[in-house]
Amino acid sequence: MRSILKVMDVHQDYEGRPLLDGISFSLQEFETICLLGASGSGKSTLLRIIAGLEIPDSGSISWNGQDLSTIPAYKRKFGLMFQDYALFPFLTVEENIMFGMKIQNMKPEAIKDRIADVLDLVELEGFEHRDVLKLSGGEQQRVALARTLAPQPRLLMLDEPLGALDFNLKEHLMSVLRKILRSNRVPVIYVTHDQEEAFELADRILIIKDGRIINSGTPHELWENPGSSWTANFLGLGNILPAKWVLEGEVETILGVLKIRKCEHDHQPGENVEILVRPDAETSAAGYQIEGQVEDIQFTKKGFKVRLTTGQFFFLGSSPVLGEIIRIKLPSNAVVCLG
Amino acid sequence: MRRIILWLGAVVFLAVFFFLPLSKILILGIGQGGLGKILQPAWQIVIPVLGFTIYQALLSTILTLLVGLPGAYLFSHYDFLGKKWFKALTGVPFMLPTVVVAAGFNALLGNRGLLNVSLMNWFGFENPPIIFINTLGAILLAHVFYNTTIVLRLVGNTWERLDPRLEQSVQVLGASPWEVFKKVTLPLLTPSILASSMLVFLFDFTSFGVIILMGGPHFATLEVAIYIQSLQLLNLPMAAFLSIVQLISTLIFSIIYSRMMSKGSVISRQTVNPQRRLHTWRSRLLAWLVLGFFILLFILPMLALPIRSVLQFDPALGVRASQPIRITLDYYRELFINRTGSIFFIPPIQALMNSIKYSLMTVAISLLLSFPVAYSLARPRKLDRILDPLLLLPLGSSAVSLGLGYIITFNHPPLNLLISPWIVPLAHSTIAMPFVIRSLQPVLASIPDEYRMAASVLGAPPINAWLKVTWPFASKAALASGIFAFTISLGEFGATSLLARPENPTIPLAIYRFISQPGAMNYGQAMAMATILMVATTISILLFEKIQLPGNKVF
Repeated sequence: MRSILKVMDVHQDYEGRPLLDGISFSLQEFETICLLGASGSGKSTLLRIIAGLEIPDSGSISWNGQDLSTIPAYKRKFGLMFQDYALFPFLTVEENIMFGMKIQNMKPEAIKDRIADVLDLVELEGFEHRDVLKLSGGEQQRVALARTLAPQPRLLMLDEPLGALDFNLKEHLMSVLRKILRSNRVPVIYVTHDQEEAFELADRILIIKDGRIINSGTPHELWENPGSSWTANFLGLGNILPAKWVLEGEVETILGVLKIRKCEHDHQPGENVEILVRPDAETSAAGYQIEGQVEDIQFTKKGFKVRLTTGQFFFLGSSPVLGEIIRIKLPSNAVVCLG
Repeated sequence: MRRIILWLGAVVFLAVFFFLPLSKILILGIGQGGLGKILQPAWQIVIPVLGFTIYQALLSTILTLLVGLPGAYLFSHYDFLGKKWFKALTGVPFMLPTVVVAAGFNALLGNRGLLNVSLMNWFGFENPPIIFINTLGAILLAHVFYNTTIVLRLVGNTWERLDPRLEQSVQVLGASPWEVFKKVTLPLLTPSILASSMLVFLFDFTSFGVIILMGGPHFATLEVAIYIQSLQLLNLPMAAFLSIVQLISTLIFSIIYSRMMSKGSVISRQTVNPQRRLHTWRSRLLAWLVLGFFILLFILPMLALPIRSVLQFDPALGVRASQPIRITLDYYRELFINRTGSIFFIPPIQALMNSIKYSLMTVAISLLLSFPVAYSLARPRKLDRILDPLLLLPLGSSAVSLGLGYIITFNHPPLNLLISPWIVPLAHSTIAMPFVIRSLQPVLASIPDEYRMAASVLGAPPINAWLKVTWPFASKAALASGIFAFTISLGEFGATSLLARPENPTIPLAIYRFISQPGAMNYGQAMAMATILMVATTISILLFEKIQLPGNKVF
C-alpha cells in the first residue's frame, strides 16, 4: 500500500474565523476513509478544496506525488457527490448520468453500456428516462451516486450521501453503498456526521473538530482507544467519568476502585485522569467490580439499559427492579484511560 | 478581478451614455455665458412651466387616488368572480406605449373618434360635440389610466394585510364604523397612501408622451418644454437649463419616495386577511360602480382603437351624415404606400421596420451588458454593493433629458453618433438596462452553485459548464428580459422623439406625426399603426407573463 492522495496543512478561513486549521492526512490506494465531525466543522469545504472547487488560504493537495494547485477541478478526474445531490433538474436520469462521459467524448455505445452498468450497480434499472424531479429522495441519491461513478473517477468523494434519508432507507442504502465501495477499486473519502455510517463503511476514520483532525484510526482502533473524552463522547462509547490514578492498572472512581488496562501515558499515582467505562456488562454476584442502585431501566436493542443513581448506565441481559442494588461485572477491556 | 471584468461593460456604457450626456447638460445649462446672464430670462420661462408641471401632477395624483382607493378597498376586502382578471387588467396600461394610449383615447373621444362621429351622424351636428383632445381633462384622464394600478397595488397590499384585531378592538369599545376608519384604518394606511401618491406624482411630473399627444401645444410641462426648446426653438442652453430643473426635481421626489418606502411601515404582515363575498347591497353597489368605471376607463379606449382603425366614416367630415359607415382595411393597405412622395415621407411600414430593428438592437446591447452584471449581483460582494445604486440612477432621470444630452454630446467626433443608426438603440438600452438587470438578477441568484460545481467535477471546463448548466436556467430569464427590453424600446417616445432622424422614424413617432396631421386618411393610418403597436405590445406582455421563471420552489 502506498499513499496516493496527500493533503498537507490546509488552512481556510471563513468570515474571519478559521474553518480548517491545518488539516493533513494521506489516503492509500483502495482505501475508504471517513471524515467524521459535527456539522459546520468544515468537512464539506475540505472536500471542495480537494476537488479543486475552492482554493485554500494555504496548504497543498497532491495526487501521486503531483501538486494539484494548478490543476482546475474539471481536469482532476475526481468524483464528488454533493450533499443535496445537485442533480440537473432539466435533464433526465440518463442524461444526468452521461453528463461526465459525454464531456470526455466517450463513444455512444460505451456510454450506453456504462449507463446500464451503473444503473444496475445502484439498483435503478429501467429509470433511464425518468424526470429527476419526480424521483424520491432515495432514488435521487442513487442517481447522484451513479452520475458520480459513471465517468470512473480516480477518487470518489461523498458528502453526507445518506444525510437526508429516513432510517430504514438509510440502512438499506448503507449496504448498497458498502457493496459499491468494496467492488469499485478506487479510494474513497466519505464525509459524515453519523458515527454509525463511519463505523460501517470506513477502513479508517478521521475525526474533525474545530478545523483539526483530533483523532484517527481504524474503526476498531478508535473503539479500543478513543484517546480523548470528546471522541469517546462523540462516538457514543459509554460512560466518561473522572478518576484518580492509584497505581499502575488501578484507578479510583465514585464507582469504587476499577482495574484499568495498560495506558500509553505516563501517569503518576494520585494524578487526576478521565476514564471510559464501557456499558456492556453482566450482573454477577461473584467477582463484581461495581455495586449500585438502579434508578431507571429502558429496553433497547442492545439489552436493558440500566441507569444507576450515580449516573452511569450499563446494558444488561436481564431486567433488575427499580431501586434494587445490583452488582455488575465488567469485561477485561471495559475501562479505558482517556488521558 | 473577475468581478471588475463583469462590471466593466455596463460601467463604461453608463459612463459614456448616461453620465457624460448628463454632465454635458449641466455644463451647458449653467456654464453658457455665466449664471447671471441666463438666470434672469430663463426663470421667466421656467417658473410658469414648473408651476404647470406641478399643478397637473398634483391634480392627476388626487384624481388617481379618488379612483384607486375605492378599488383598493374592493380588491382587498371582497372576493368575486373575475377579480384576478380585473386586477391583471388594471396593470396592463403600465406596459402600454403612450402613443397607443393616446391613440386609444383619441379613437374613443377625439374629434374623429367613435363617439363624436357617431353623435354627428345621428344628430347631424356640424362640429364634434365633445371637445376632449387638447384639454387638461385629457391629460388628467390619461394619467389616471396609467397610474391607478400603483394605488391599487401599494394601498391594496397594505389594506388586505392590516391586522383585523386593531379595528375590532375599537369596534368593541363602541366606535362607529366611520370613527373606526378615521382613527384606526386611515392612520395605518397613511404610509402606503403617501408612498403611492409620491410615486404617482413622480410619474405624472415626468410625463411627456401624454402631455404632447393629448394636451396639444397649449400645455407645456418641463419635459415638453425641453423638447420644444431643443427641437423647435433650437435653444439648447435653455433646454439644458430646463433639464437641470427637471433632474433636480425628480431627484428630490425620488429621495422622498425612497425615504417613505424605507421607513418600512408600508407593509405590515405576511398573511392576507380572509375576504368576504359581495353579500350586502352596499358592497354590490360599490363593486358595480368600481368595476363599471374600470371597464369604461381601461377597456373602452383600447377597444375603440382597433374598431376605429377599420371603420371609414364619410370622407368629408361634418358635411353630411347620410354617408354609411363602412368597414375597411384601407388604412392598413395605405401603410405600405408613400403617398406624398417626399423624401421625408416614407411608407409607414418602414417606420415599423425601423422600430423592430431598433428594438432588436436594444435587446442585444442591453442583454450583453446586463448579463455579466446580473451574474455578479446574483452573488454580491463588496464591489457589487458599491456599484449597484449606480444602476438605478437612469430610472430616475427623464427620457427627454437623456435625448437632449445625446444631442449635445454626440454631435462631433470622436463620438459623432447622431447620424448613426445606433443612437436610438443606445438611448433605449440606457433606459431598459436597469429593468433588464433587475429581472435577470433574481433568476441567476436562484441557481444553486452546486450545479456549476457538479458540472465542473464531472469534467466540464468553465465555459462548457456555464453553457450546459447555468444557461438552461438563464436562457429563460434572458428571453423574458429580452422581451421586456424589446417592449420598452418598441414604445419609447421621449428620447426617440429627439434622436430619431426625420427620414427614419420609429412607429411611435410615425403615429404622432400622422395623428397630428389633418385628413381622414392620416388619422386612419395612425389608428392602424397604433393598433399594430398595441397588438405587438400585448403579445410581448403575454409572452413575458407566459415564461414561468424558475422560483425557489423548483430547487
